[in-house]
Amino acid sequence: MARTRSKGGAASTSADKTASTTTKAASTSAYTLPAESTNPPKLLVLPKDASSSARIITLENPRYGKPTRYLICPETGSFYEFTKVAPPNKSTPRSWLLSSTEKESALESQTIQSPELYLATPYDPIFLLIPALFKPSSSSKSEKQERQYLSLDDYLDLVPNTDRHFSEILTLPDSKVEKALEARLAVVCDCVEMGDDKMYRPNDSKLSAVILSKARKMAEKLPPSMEEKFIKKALEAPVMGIVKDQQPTAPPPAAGSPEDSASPSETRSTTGTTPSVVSTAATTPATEAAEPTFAPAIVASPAIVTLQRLRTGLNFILSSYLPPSLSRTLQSSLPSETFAPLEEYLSKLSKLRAEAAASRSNDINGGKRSRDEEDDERLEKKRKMEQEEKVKKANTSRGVKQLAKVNTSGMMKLSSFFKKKT
Amino acid sequence: MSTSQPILNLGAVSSSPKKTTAHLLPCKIHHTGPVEPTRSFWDPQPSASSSDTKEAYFRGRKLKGKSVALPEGYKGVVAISSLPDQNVDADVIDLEKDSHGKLEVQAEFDEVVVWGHESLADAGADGYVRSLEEWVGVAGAIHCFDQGANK
Repeated sequence: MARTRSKGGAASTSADKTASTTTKAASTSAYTLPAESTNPPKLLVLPKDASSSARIITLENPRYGKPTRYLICPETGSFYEFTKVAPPNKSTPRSWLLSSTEKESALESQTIQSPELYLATPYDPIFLLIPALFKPSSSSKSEKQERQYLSLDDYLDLVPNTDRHFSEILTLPDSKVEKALEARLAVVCDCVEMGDDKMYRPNDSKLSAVILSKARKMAEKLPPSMEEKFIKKALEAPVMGIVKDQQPTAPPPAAGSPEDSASPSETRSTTGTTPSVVSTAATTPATEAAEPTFAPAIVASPAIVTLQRLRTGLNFILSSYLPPSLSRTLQSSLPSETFAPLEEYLSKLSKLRAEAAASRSNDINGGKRSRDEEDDERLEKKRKMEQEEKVKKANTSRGVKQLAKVNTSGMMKLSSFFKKKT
Repeated sequence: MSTSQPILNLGAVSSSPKKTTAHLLPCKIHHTGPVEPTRSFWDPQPSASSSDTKEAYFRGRKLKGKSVALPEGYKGVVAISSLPDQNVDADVIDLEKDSHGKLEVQAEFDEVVVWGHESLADAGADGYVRSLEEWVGVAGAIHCFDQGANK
């Protein structure tokens, strides 16, 4: 398997070893690292259905306005965007090692210093068109009247084409890119047919419908890491009712606040069990031996969780694929009642959090912390005294020690001689 | 690199591409290039405890690796992007051809092994695992559209 080097083979002496091992043994002393490749290979993860005519082109990123690489397959008319996977910060040591497999047709093992991996995932070309279609006009109020019916070509001309890659892709022989773009264009536009030509006019409500449906789809299969961060953490109410922490004299604000917070939750929460637990804990702070009760003050209902998921998806799409100005207008154009229950819940939650934070800081400042500090100080003093005494004892002579044993209760203190005589 | 990168043609996929395995090592290697023979210093073994993890000793350190299969419908390639060659056909000025580079596929891989010191990478914390396992699904959800409907 290992390629036999002519030098190593000639130098081998031991007969019982296989050829491959001897080559290694012989060459260990004279490892020469081949020169670094000037054009380092890249690791890409590409879709299997990208044909051989697929190419990587540079287009302007609709969100950031920067040139970005896309993979485009003219045969199917599908677009792919690249996601660069790299360690979160540059200092994280990571590198690639490509090791040859046992098979015959294996690549020579090599290392690649930069740990990047480029992942090509499907990309909806509608996002490329959106900036051209929904240009923020200066006179935004009469925008609707101003918009005109234009042909597909007119819109394609508006797509930034700095490197001329976009136009080149469109003019490729039997390229389906234009057709695919037209199909996507029709989704967000009103369309009229004028003779043979189709004319399109961008429609705001169609756009927001498309974006919303995308957000909904994303919300349906939110990955675990996002679920954890944006749903669970965002909706998690502070845990209340951990009133007793060993100290029998719990400071009053800590005991009071869970009760305060429990009462609103009782009125609105669908799960009636949690508030009752909280209130018992709050009213019986004296029974400190009881197990601490951890219970969130309010629990999000499934409807609210769904809404939060939808909003997470929507925010993600708006903030990664649409130009900032457009995402703002889109967000404001959403009917306000869409997220109303969620807003209500979140405002309650923020109030609860503020309360919890306040009670906690009270707890820390007023109660345990100061006591601990006092204890610490006392201990410190004691330790110092002991240390001083030790030093003293070590320094005193035998005579003084013996004198120290004398009963001095009846005698006058030496200090009395130096007092003012009254 | 200049601001304008050329178009890269993917080119034909050879019927029997070379195979390799991509190991993401938890260390920096200041070398890019071939390192044969590797057998003496890199010999990962399947771990005894579970099937999809591996163990290896690399320069005296114990590494644990997690195999992450590439998502369905994807393949990994090791590729070199070669820039357009100006010398070829200097007489015939073919603007189209000239501006194209090529993505030369050297080998393919279908799994990535993410290695960690003594510990396994988990999906929540490791960006590589998360990208391969989660992002592909999310991207599919965001960007999917009914291709047949509007034709």
